[in-house]
Formats: sequence, C-alpha cells, structure tokens
Amino acid sequence: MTGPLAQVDLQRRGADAVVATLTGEIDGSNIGDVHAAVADGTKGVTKLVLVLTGLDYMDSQGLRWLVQLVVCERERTTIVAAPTSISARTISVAGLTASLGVVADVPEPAAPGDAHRD
Amino acid sequence: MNRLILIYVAVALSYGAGSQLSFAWFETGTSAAFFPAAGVTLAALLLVERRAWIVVIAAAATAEFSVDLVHDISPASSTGYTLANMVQPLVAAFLITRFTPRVDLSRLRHLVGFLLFGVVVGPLVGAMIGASTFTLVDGNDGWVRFVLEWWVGDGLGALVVGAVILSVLPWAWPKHRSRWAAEAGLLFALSIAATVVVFGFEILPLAYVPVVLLMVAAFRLGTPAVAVIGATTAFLAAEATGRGHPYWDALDVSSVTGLLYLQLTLGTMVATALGISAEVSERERRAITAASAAQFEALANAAPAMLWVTDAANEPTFLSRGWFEYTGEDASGGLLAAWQRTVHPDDLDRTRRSYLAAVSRHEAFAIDYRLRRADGAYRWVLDSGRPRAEHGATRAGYVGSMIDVHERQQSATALKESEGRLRTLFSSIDEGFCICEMIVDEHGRAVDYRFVEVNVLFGVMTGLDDAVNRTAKELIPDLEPVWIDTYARVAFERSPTRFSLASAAMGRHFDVYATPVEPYGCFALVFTDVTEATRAAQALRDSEAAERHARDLAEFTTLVLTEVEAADGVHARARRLVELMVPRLADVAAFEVGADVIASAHHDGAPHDIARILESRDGIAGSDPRAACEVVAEERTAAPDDERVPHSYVTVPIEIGPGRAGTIHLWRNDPERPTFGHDDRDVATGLAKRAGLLLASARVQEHEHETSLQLQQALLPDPAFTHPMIATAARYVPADDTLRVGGDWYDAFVLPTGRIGLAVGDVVGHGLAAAAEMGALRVALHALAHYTDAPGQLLERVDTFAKGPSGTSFATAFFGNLDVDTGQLRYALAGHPAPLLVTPSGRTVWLEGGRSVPLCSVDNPHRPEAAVVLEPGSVLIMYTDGLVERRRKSIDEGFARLEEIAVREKDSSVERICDCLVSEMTGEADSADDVVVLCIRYAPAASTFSRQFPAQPGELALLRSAVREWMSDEEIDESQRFNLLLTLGEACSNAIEHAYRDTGPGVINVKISAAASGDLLVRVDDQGSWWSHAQDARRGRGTSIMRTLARDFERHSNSEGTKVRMIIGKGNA
Repeated sequence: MTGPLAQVDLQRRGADAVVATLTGEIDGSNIGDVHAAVADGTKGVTKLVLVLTGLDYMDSQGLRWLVQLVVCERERTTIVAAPTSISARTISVAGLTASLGVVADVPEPAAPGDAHRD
Repeated sequence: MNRLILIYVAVALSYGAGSQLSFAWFETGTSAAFFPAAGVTLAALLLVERRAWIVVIAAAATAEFSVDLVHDISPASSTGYTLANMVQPLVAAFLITRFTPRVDLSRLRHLVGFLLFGVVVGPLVGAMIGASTFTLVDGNDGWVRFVLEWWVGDGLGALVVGAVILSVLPWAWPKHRSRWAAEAGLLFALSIAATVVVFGFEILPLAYVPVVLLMVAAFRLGTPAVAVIGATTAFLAAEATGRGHPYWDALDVSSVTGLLYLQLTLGTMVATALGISAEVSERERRAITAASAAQFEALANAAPAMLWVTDAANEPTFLSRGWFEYTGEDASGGLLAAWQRTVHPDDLDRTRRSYLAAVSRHEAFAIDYRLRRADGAYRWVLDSGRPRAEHGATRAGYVGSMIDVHERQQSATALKESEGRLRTLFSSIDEGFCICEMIVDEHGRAVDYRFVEVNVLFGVMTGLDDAVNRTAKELIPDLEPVWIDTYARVAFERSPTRFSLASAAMGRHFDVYATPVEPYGCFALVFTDVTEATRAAQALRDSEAAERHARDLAEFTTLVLTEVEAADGVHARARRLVELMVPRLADVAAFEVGADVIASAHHDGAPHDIARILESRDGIAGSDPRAACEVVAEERTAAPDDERVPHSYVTVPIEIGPGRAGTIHLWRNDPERPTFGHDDRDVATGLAKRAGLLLASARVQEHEHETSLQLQQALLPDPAFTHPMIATAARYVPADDTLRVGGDWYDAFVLPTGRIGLAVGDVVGHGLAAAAEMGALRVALHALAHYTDAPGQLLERVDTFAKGPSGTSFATAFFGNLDVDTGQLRYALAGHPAPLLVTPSGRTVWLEGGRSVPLCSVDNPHRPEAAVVLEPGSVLIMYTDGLVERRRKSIDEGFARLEEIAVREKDSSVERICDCLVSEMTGEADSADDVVVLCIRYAPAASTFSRQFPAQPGELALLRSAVREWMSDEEIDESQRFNLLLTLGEACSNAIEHAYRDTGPGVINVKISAAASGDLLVRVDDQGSWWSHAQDARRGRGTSIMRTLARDFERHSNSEGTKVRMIIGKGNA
C-alpha cells in the first residue's frame, strides 16, 4: 500500500547530505512507512532536506511526524514546502510554518542537481 | 447826593439871609451885635452827619464870601472873615458832639454843652480870628472891642437861631400838641407885643414883660417855645436898635454899647429860660418814668406771673407781688437775699452761674430751677430774662419772669432720666448721640450750634474730635446751612424730626433723629453714619444689572441642563450641550473625548471644520487644549475678509464618568464679540461640571440598557443559526417597545441526530417577567430536545420542567424537528396556533396535527405528535398568536391574511416573507401582544456523497479518491476541496484510530451534502465512543484543523456513537 500512496525520493548531496522528496499522500495509514523510508535513507548524513511540495495530501498524522522529526533532528533537518502546496497549507492551517522552519525552496548548497553531477 | 445838594442850598440861602440881615441892621463897619447866620451854620453842623460837614461849610463859606464882597469888603478881609465864620461853628460843633452825640436841648446836659461850646467857646474863637482880620488886614484899631462885639453878636445868633432850628425839629416836639400849641401861640404873641411896646414906644418899665413871658414859656412850654420866643425878641430888639431908636439914649449909653448890653441881657435871658425849660423837661421825664414804673409794678403785681427787675449791677430792684405771694417771703435783708433763700440749694449755684453767663454776653436766658413755694415745697420754675432796653445805657440790668413749670418739669425730668438711660444705651450701641445748643445772632436767627455733650460713637460717626463746647461751624466751616435750619426748627419749634441727609462738607450721609431737649434752644441728635450703607445701596443698584446678568446665566444654565437631560444617551447629550452653548457662549463649540470629536456646533458664519480648528488650535497662543481650563485671547491677525478665524478660545475639562474625561472647546470668531473672559470660563466650567454628571449618568444608563439588551438577547436564540438545507428567518416584535423580548420565543437548532429543531412558543403575559419565564422555557426545550426525537415526548418533558420550581405559569408551544435529508417534519402543538406550510406550487397546509393542551395547564396530558414531509422549496411559517390576533377582528381573518400573504410571497426569500407578514399584519400600531415569526424554506441538497466503510486506515485513501471523484461533478473550488478533504480526513482518521479501539473494527458513515448555496454539509458518524477530553488532547491537532477549516463544527458523542457535523463553506478559507 505504501508504494502507491506516497513516494520517497532520496538523493545524496555529497557525503553527508540527503534531499528527501515526498510525493503522493500521507495519512495515518502510511506515515510509519514514510518515516522509515526517510530515516533509513538518511542514516549518517548530517543534512536532511525534506521536500514536501509535491504531496497531494497530508493530514495531522503527517504534521505530527514532521514535528517529531524537527524536534529530534533539528540540526540536520530542513523542510521545504512551496507556499501554495497542499503540505504548506496544511502546515499553515496547523500554525506550524514558523516552528517547523519551513522554507519555500531547497537551499542552494544542497541543490539536487549538484548531487547528480557528483 | 440830592440830599447833600439840598443841604448846600438850604445852608447857603439861610446863611446869606442871616448875614444880609446883620449887614442891614449894623452898617457901622464894626462887627454885628446880632449875627443870625452863626446859628444857621452851627445848627446845620449839628443836624447832619459828620461826613456832610464839608458841604455845610462850603455853603456857608460861599455865602459869607459873597455877602462880604457885595458889601465892599476887600477879598483879603473877606477871606479872613469867612475863615473866622467857618472855624467858629466847626470848633463848636466838634466839641458839642464830643460831649453829646445827638443834641436834645430839652435835656439839661445837652443844653449846657450847647451853651458852653456853641454859644461861648465857638464864637470866641471866631471873634478872635475876625478881630485879627479887622485889625491886621484892614488896619483898624480896637481888637478887644471887636472881639467883644463879634462874640456877643455871634453868640446870640448861635443861641437864638441855633436853638430854634434844633428845637423845632420833630423829635423835640412834645406829644400833647394842641394845648401846648395854643399856649405857645399866646405866649409868642404876648412876647412880640411886649417887645414892640418896649422898643417901639419906649415904655421902659415894660421891659421886664418879655423876660417874664420867656420864663413862663420855659416852665410851661419847654425849650422849643423858649427858643422861638427868645429868637423873636432878639430879632425885634436888634431891629429896633439898628434903626437907632433912642432906647439906649434914655439909659445914657451909646447905642452901640447899649446894644451890646441888650444882647448880653437877651442872651442871658434866653439861656436861662432854656435852662429852666430843660430842667423842667428833665423833671417831667423823671415823673413820667416814675409813673410808668409804678404802673409796671402794679401790672406785675396783678399778674399771675412772678416778675423781676435787676439793675446794671445785677442786684434785683424789683420782685413782683406774685413772687412774694408764691414764695411767702418778705423783703427783709434785701431782694437778692430773699431770692436766694427761695432757690433750692442744689440749684442755686448753677442758676446763678447761668444768669451771670447770660448777662456777660448780654443775651436772653432761660433757666429752670426749683423755687420754694410758700408751703415749703420746691417747685420747678422756668426763669427767663432779657436785657432791659435802657436808652443811652449799655448795661441796664435785666427784666424777667418766672413761671411754675413743675408739672411740665416732672415729665421733663422723667424724660431726662430716660434720656440718661438712653445715653447709657446709646453709648453701648451703634449710634452717635449728642446734645447741642443753638446759637442765634442779634436778630434771633440761628447761625450755629454748639456741641454740649457727645457719646463715644459721636467721633466715630462724624469724624469730629473734641467736639464738646465747640460749634458746628468751628468744626465744619463749610457746613451746609440746611443742618442749622433743620436743627433750629427742632430747637425752637420744639418738634422732633427724623431725616436722612448727606453732608458734602462732612463727606458723610447720616440718618438723624433730632429732638428738642431742655433748656429751650437745645436739641439732641441720635444719628447713624449710613454712608457705607448708602454706598452699599448704591452699589446694590449698580449690581442689579450684574444680578440680572447672573440671573440670565442661571436661567441659561438651567435651560442647558434641562435640555441636556432630556436627550437620551451620551452622544445625544453631548451634542445638545454644545448646540446650546452656541451662540450664547461661543460661535463654535466642540466636545472632544480622547482624540474624537463626539459633538460639535457652530454659529452661522462660524467655521465648522472642527478638525481643522482643532489642528490649528496649537497655533493659538501655544495653548494646550487638554490642560486645565484656560482662556486664550488671541490677537486678531486675520485679514478683515477672513472673519471666520477664531480670535478667542477657551477649553473646559468635562468629567463624564470615573476616569473618563473630555474637553469642551469653545471658540469665538465674531469680530463684534469680545474675547472670552474669566466669567465666560466660569460659566462654561460650571456648565461642564454639571453637564458632565448628566453625561456620566447617561453612560451608566446606556451601560445598563446595553446590559439589559444583552441579557434579553441571551433569552433569544443565536440569530447566527444557519443550515445548508434550510433558509431561516425570524422576526421578534415585543409588545413593550422598551424591551427587546417579551413572553414569545422561537428557536432553531441542530439536534444530535442531524435533524433541525424548530420551536415557537408563547408565555402568557408580556414584559420582563414573561421574558424571563420565556427564556427559561426556551433553554429547557432546547436542552431537552437533544434527548428525544419525539416532539410530543419533548413537550411532555418541557411541561414537567415548566411545572417545576423554576417553571412558568402558562404557555403555548410548537416544536418540530426536520430531517434535512428527507424533509420529514415531526411536530407537536401544545395549545399553539398551527404553523402554515406552503408548497412551491402554492398549496397550503395548516399543521394542525399533534395537538395538545397548553403547557402547565393540566397534569400529565397526553401529547401526541404528527408528521409531514416537506417538499423541497416548501416554506414553513411558525408564529405566535400576536401575529394573527387583532382587536375587533376575528382570528380567522388573521389566519386568512396570513395564508394570503404566505401564498403571495411563496417564492420570496424567507427574510422578505417575514417582513411582509410583520409589516402587513401588525401594521396597525395597536399590537398589544408580542409577535414572533419564524420562517424556513426547506432546500435539500442538490447532490449528496454517501459512503460507508470499515474503520481502517487504509480506507482513507479510498474515501479521498471517491470524494475527489464526486467533487469533480460539483462546482467546488480548490480551496473548498482542500478544506473538505482535510477535515473529512481528520474526522475519519479520528474515528478509525479511536472509535473501535476496544470493540474491533466498526463502520464509518460519511455523508456530504452540497446545498444550493454551495456550502457542504459534512457528517461523519461512527458507532464507537472514542471521543474524550484526554483523547482530544492527543488528537488536538486534527480537531484544531477541523475547527479552523469548518463552519459550525459539532461533535456529539454518546453511547450510540459519535457524530461529527460540520459545514465547509463555499469560499471558506
């Protein structure tokens, strides 16, 4: 069920950075899998960029995960969600945009293109 | 002047005649043996006043000189003789007038003077001058003889002619005239006859006859007759001698010598006769005086009064018989001793001193003292005296009288005693007091008054120090005569007076009571200096205008406050206040609270852009408008055409409640108006202070009103009730327009089952009490409705509640619940008018089923229910009887009217239907009852999504997928989609996660209805009971999202499960 509902695309940026791009939908049914996929794909990296802009649905379960993620791995985690995206609006409805440190775009040094060139 | 000319002419003619006679008689070249002119000159000098002597002398000199020249006497000699004839009478007249100022020859003393100086001394002086002229100028011999002849001739002339002239003057003539005239005429005739016989017929033995006649005249007729007869004799003798009659020959002497003898004899005779005559006159006079004294004494003795006479030595010379009878005294030891014996010893000294004081001033006096009566009793007498008028004597003693005034004096004494008491009183009260004595001049006219006694306050009241024994004019030289005249009337007419008068000389205004007091001529004054009072009165009059002004202000203030109070509410009162301040106080007025101008007013022609003025006010003398009240008068700098610029500004703080202050700004821009003064400020401040209280109370009232309205509002349902499938409108018209609610109510709410509860009710009565009962009933029904879907059962429960302790007395009610999906309405009526259902086609149905008795009417009534299915678009009209019951109209008319309007407006909005019903059915203003109208239109969902699925997480994605598919057919925008998916997901997620935790997977029912309005009604039902506060805390984020995104989010959880109901609005964020 995980496959069709949400996809996690992990891209390495150098030795210690990963950009995780999520698409599809996140709800209580797949949030555990999404978490596991991201966690596995980012072990040992010091920088995680979580891109949510492409999600079609995310509910309060997804928010809860994001909050846990940011609280536990604040040093390395950056959440990216374009302002008009579903995820950004959901985060906004919950009033978490600032506390989650949501940014609109992937930070330059860790741009996905760089990783591929490596 | 005419008199002097007359004197001149008379003297000149007389002198000339006398002189000519003398020349005619004695043309011998020697002096005349009889020179009548000498008598003319002397008499003339004695008769006229001294300043006219020069006229007499001039006339006599003219005549003498003329006659001398006529008789060929050289001018030098004429000058000498003239000198002699002038010096002679002058010397005589001078000496005589020194001796006796006015010559009365009937008095011996006067006669002696006349003879000595006029007849002897004067002519002797003249004779020596004349003789010197005769010998030295003319060169003749015989100075001694000439002197002798002159002396004799002029002496005789002075004697006989002068005496005649002086005697025949009116004052010398005796009063008893007729008999005297006859006697005088006889003697005169005999004298002439005798003289003619002696000298004409030379019958010498008869020569004594004229002498005898002269003596007879002297005794019988007095000096005038003697003078006339003597003069006649002298003339005749001289005439005879001058004609050379040989009389003297017989005596063997020369005629000249004889004449000399004759003249000496005549002179001696006439002088003697005159002397005798004078002596006789004197004796007669004394006899007359004695007779009149006796007569006075007789009168005095007969009179009841006691009279007395004193002499110049102040010794009494007479006391009347009345006195002796009254006192029982005799004259032993003298009259003075007798008088002194009778005077009361206590009064004697005082009386004596008063008498002597009056005598020393030669004034009349009046003294009262006690006189011992014959019976030994002392009686008060008034003893008044006046100087005796004694001719020729300056001090002749007094004559006076005593009158028994005892009776009068008794009262006077009493008066004095009371005066004494009054004086004591006056010395202690606020009035001036004095006793004064009038001072009169020699004509008896009051000219001044003397202060005899004054009290302490006298000085204070008058400003006069040391007034006692000084006169008013001494103290106040310019004292107005009116004071003296007024007091003179009091003192002499003995009548008291009261008056108020200002004295410019004293610079004061007095209220005076003046009363006569003893002794006569004295008066007492009781007075008050009312200068200040008068000034105060004037000031009062002056202040009347100010007072009127103040009264106007008071009226103005009252008007303003009354009007302000009449206005309702803070703003209305503030507006009224500033409106009334214009134009009376200012041309522009503004009321500022905080930074807001809540009210302003302006006069015609005054600026009305308050904000602009307020902005520019900082420019007015740098005033801080929020500082305490101040007045700023600004120099007018505006151009004449810009008269709107305020020139004066005042701010007044105004307290309009605790901790809430405003400011009243007042401006004046009318150039004609003065700038604000402090009085204006005071008026404005006073107004603000009192108006502030009114505004504060208005605030309190408004607050109370607001509170009341809020409380009343709380009795009514939430007007915000909306439902996607039901358009709702309601009208509430309380009968009491001071309230917003009455006994009627309506309610509309969503029941846990998703059905819509609709209620209309009516508690009997109106007003606040009914409203309170209504509120209780409404809340009870609302609350109880959650526990049953059966309207009849609900009404039974409400009835039970209403009969309870907090219940009502009597009420009717309609309750129905509507299934929005099916349009089924279950309803029941408790004594309530049937609602009207109107179908879209215009068919009407009165919902008359489910009827039962009103609430609280009977015990445990059966309350059935009925049901009806509403066609989509049907309108249901619920109401209270106030809508259909009209006075003087049957209720059926009301129902018919309701039906008519409802059908007519069936396609209108529910709002309009309500408006039409209320306005058309309660249009007449006589609605005595509350009116409630609740109107709904049933508009079921055009499209509905329904899905039932197992409560498993994996179902959520499927549900989302199905909903997305449904939404694609609906007109739902992106935002609403997002909101629907998220809220629905959260609701279902909650149900999946918690609802069946203990019981295993259950079923979740999801229903989404798209209303015609575009709103989406979302319902998620499960059969679990997952919801709890603790869970909510954990699930908070999801619930929070639903509350944020959905409208009317409701969650009802009970043993049967949990129902979530929410509306996702169109365009809802």
